[in-house]
Amino acid sequence: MKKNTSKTGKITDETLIARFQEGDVQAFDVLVRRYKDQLLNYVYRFVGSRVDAEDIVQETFLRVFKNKHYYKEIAKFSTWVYTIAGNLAKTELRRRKRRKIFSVSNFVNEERDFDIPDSERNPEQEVDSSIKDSIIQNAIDKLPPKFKEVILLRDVQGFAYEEISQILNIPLGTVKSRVNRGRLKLQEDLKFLVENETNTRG
Amino acid sequence: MSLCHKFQEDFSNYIDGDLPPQSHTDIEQHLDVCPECKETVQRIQLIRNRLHRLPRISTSSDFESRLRQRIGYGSSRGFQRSPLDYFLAWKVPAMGFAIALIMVSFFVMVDWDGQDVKLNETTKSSLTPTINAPSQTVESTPAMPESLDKFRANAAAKVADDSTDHEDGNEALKKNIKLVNEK
Repeated sequence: MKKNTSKTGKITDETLIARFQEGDVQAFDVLVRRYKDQLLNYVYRFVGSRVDAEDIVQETFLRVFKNKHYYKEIAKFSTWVYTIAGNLAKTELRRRKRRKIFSVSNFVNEERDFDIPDSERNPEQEVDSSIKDSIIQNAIDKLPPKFKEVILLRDVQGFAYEEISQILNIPLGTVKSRVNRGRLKLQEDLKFLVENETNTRG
Repeated sequence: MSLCHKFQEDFSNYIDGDLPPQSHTDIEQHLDVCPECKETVQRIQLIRNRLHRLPRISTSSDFESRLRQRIGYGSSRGFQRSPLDYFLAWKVPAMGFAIALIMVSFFVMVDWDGQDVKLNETTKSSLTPTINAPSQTVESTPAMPESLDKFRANAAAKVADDSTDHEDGNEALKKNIKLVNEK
């Protein structure tokens, strides 16, 4: 018999989307509240702009609403919704590339800005936590999209490799290989940050 | 490929604990003797932890109301059916039905004005020759053998006449030859 609730007694996403498919729009409300923040964080790290990220998450839910009957219960709802959000984020990056808009200019003007590390910065300089975060974000931005998406799903969002494979519709081996290469690239780019952190601790 | 590069391919699996026991041991033994690879693994672990602890942001307070607006809902109670959906579900079919009704009424009124009689007459006059023509053809078909026989009879008679003429010609030629010989 199919379970409608999780171990914690919460109604499962799959039950909610099934109810929504039958016309219960309150179920859609619950899904929006469940996923809006985690999708925002995923997309935000992907495109580097909070404003664009909110627009993309809105568009994601809009598509879920309009295309609710395309969801089939063979996949988890989270897989489906992350696939939509990830594809929209990638489209946004391609659009920016075409228009030659450098994303840095976007987050400089935002409420929650990232400070872009100066290439001339002395690695030994003391950096506080928020600056470190912005440096990490900058390194994420520089990753090629195929590495960026797996790093975000695995190390930021905490998805299992199998789930990432379903979200991105690529083989498990490819996911593992890309995660490894992405991590190697990040540690190379963030070498000075980690060394600084280690020295500060020491 | 150097030994370090070979082990690098498995660093993620090593960190995630996804390696078979033997491969795990092999990497650990390599890390014991290769400080460079050991540092790389440590950096990956630190960055991975850092990524997992990145500050989380939240959607703006008007996120849901803006989403409702985009979907087409004004209700503060939630994402209920939009006026557009009602319009599409009821008003559009109703309007289609009304237009169909108006068109049917229009044709009925045209009939009452006697337009259909004129139309029928015109149609009849234009159709009559087309309809009669094939029947004439059909009627003339049985006469064909008769006229053929007649044609054959005439042709046979002509051939007979021609042969008579030829016979006459031959006799005249014989007479002429006889006259020439006599001379």
